[in-house]
Amino acid sequence: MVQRPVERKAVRSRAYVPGVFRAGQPHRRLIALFVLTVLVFGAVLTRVTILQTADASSYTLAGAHQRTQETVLRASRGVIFDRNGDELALSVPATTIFVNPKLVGDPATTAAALATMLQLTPERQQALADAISNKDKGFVYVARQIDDKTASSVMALKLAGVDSYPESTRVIPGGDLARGVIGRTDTDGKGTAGLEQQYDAVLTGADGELVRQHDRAGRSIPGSGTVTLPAVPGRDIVSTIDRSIQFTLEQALLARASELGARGGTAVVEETTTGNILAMASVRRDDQGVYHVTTANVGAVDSYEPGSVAKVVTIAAGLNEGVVTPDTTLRVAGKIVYNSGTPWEFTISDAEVHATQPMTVHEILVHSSNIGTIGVSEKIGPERQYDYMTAFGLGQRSDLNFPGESKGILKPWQQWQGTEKVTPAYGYGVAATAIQLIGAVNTIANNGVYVSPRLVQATIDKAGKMQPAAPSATRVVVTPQTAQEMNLIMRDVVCNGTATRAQVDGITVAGKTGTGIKAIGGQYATVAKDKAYYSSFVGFFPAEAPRVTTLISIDEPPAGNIDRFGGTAAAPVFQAVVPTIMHQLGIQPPTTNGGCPKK
Amino acid sequence: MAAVAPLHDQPERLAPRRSTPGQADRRPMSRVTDPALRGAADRATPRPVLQVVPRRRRAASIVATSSVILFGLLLGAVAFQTRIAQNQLALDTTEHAVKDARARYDVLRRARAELRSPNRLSVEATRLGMVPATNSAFMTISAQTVARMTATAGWLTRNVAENTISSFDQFGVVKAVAGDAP
Repeated sequence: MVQRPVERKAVRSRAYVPGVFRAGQPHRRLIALFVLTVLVFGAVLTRVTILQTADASSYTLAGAHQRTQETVLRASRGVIFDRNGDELALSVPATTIFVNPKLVGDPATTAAALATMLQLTPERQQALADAISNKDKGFVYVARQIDDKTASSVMALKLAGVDSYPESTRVIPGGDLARGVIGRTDTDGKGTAGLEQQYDAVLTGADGELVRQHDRAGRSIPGSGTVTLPAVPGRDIVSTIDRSIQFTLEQALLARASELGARGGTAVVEETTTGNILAMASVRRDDQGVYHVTTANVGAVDSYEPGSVAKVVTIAAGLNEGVVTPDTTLRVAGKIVYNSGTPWEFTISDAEVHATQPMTVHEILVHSSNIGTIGVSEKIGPERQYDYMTAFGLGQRSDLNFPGESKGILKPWQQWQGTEKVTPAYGYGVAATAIQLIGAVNTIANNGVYVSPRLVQATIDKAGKMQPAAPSATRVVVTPQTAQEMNLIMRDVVCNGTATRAQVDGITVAGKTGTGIKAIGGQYATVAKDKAYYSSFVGFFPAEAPRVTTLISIDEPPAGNIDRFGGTAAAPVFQAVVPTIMHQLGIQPPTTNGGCPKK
Repeated sequence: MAAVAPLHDQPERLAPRRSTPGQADRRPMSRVTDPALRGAADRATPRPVLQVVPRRRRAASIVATSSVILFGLLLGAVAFQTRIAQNQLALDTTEHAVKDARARYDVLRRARAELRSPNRLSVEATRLGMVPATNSAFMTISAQTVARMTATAGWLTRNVAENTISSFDQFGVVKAVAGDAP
C-alpha cells in the first residue's frame, strides 16, 4: 500500500516509446465514449421521433405511393344493336403505342423501324422522327388503337423508349352499313356524330378505379387488392334499324344512283304503326364519280322542296275539311299565269300538257295535277293549309331529335306573299327532310294518326336487362275515313297513275310520286337540260293493312330523259327493296286480290 | 433430471475438510469413532460431497411448452401468410383470366358480327357465283303439300320452340355476370 503513489508516478513519467502501446487513462475515454454514444443515440432518437410524428404523414404517403398502383378502370362503351340483336357498333380491345423521347437514343432509326411495322407514310415517319427528337417531351403517340397482333409485333422489337398500353377502339362490323345513322366517336371514345353523339351519355359508362399494393415485380401484395370504385359499363342501345333491310336499301340506292348517273339518293323505311325507322340510307357520288354510302344522315339533316308528294297533305286536308270529296270535279286549266305582265310574272303548269278540263279530286292526285291541287288548296285557304302542313309534321324537327336535324322550311302563312300562297300546296316554297316527308305520308297509312319516328326502341342496363323506350308520340291529324279515301286514291297512283313502276306482284301498294326542281343559287333553271331535279316516291304496303312506309329520293337524276321523275327514278328502288322488307318482317301477301287489279 | 455438480468444483468443496489448526475441533467426532480406523480414514482419498440439487422440472416444462406453442404459432403464421399469398396469386390469375376472357368475348363478338355482316355475305355469295334476284314471286302452297311435309318432318315441339334464346338474352346474361370486371 505504501508503494502505490510511487508506482503511479512511475507510470506517469514513462516516456513515449515508439512501437510500444500502453494502457493510458481509460476513465476519461470511457466518459467521452459514453457522451458520444448518448449524443448519437439522442440524435437518432430525435430523428426517429420527428419521422414518427411531424413528418409521419408525408412519409407514409410517399411509402404508400411507392407500393400503391392506382389503375383507372375504363368503363366499356355500350353496344349499338340492330333490332334483331346484331351488333352495329361495338368496342373491342386494342393497343396504343407510344414513345418516350427521353429514352430514345437514335430517333431516326426508331422512327424508321416503327414506320416499317406500322406502315406509316414518309411524311408521318418524318413527323414522328421530329417528335421523338424533341427530348423535352416525355410522351409521344405513335399509333392509337391498333390491333393487338400488330402491337405485339412492334413491342417484340424491344425498341428503347417504345411502350404500349391497352385501349379499346370502336368498330362498325358491317363496314359502311348505316354509318350515317350510327355516327362515329373520336379517338377518346366520345360520340361526335349520329346515334353515337345523340346517345353519348347513355352509351358512356362511369370509369372506376382499382387501388392495389404491389411488389417490385408488379405482383399484388397478398391481402392488399382493393377495388375502390368499380367501373359502371355504359348502357347498350337497341336501335330500330334492321341490318338486312338497311343493306338492301343501301345497295339498291347505290345501284340506281350509279345506273342513272345521279348525284346521290336518300331512302327511309318506317314501320307504319310504331314509327320505328327500319332503315335510313343515303348515297353520294364523289369527285371521282364513285358512289359511297354517306357518313352524314342526309335523310335527317338535309331538306329539299318535296314537289308533288306534298299534294298528299293538301288533298287530305281538303277531304278532311269536307270542302271536296274524291269524286268532286274541278275545272283544271293546263296552266295559270300569275302577275301577268309584271316583273313578278309566274307561270304554273301541269307536268302533263292539257287543255282546261274537268278532273275529279281522285284524278288530280293520281295524275299529280298542280293546277288541280291549287284548286283544292284555295278551297281550304292558306291558314288551314298551313295548319294541316304543320299537323303532318312539316316545318318542325321530328321527335327523332337527331344531331344536326333540319326543321325544313315552312314560313307562317301570314308571311306568304304572291304565289307563295299557292305553291306550298304542291310542294314548292316549302322544304322538308326525308324524315318529315315519310312521317306525313305515314299518317295516311296509319289511319290518320301521325306517329313520331324513332331510331331507338330500348336500352340494356348494366344488369343486362332490356328497358324498352317510351313509345312514339302520336296525334290524330285526319279522320280514319279521310285516311281510307286517301289510301284508295294512292293505290290508284301506283296502279294507274305516275308510280306504276312501284308495283309489286301480289302486294297492294299505295303511294305518291314527287318531282321537285331544285333551286340552284336561289334560282330555278328555265332551260330543261339545265334543271336539277329531286325525284321521290313515298309508298306503303300492304295497302289493305299498312305495315311499312318507304321513301325513296334520287338527287339530280338526268334532266334530259324520262328517268328524271319520281315515278321513274325512285319508284324502281321501292319495287326492288319491298321483297326483302317483306321477308325480314314476315309480311305475307293476301291470298287473293293482292296487287293492282288485272286489266 | 437431477443436476450434478461440475467436477472442477470438487477442490473447492473439499477445501473446508483440510485440517487446519483452527478447525480441528469442529470436526464431528462421530465420523470415525474407531481409533483403529482413524488412521486408515485419514489416509484414504477425500471423497466429494454429493448434494441434491433442487428439481426444476416444472419450470423446464413450462419453458418447453411455451417454446412449442410459440414455434407452433410462428409456424401457423408462416403457413397462414403463405396461404394468403397463394390465394392472392390465384386471385390475380383469376382476375387476369376474367379480363382476358372478357376481351376475347368482345373480339369473338366482333368476328361473329363481321362474319354475319350482309356486306361480307354479299361478297362471298358473289364469289360463289350467286346473283341478286331480279324479281320475287309469292306462291300458295296447297294444304296437301303442307300436310305431307308435316308428316315427314314433324312440327317443332313446344320444348324446342320455347327454349330458343335470343341474341339479346345471351348478351344480357354475359353482361350481368361479367359487367366491367377489372
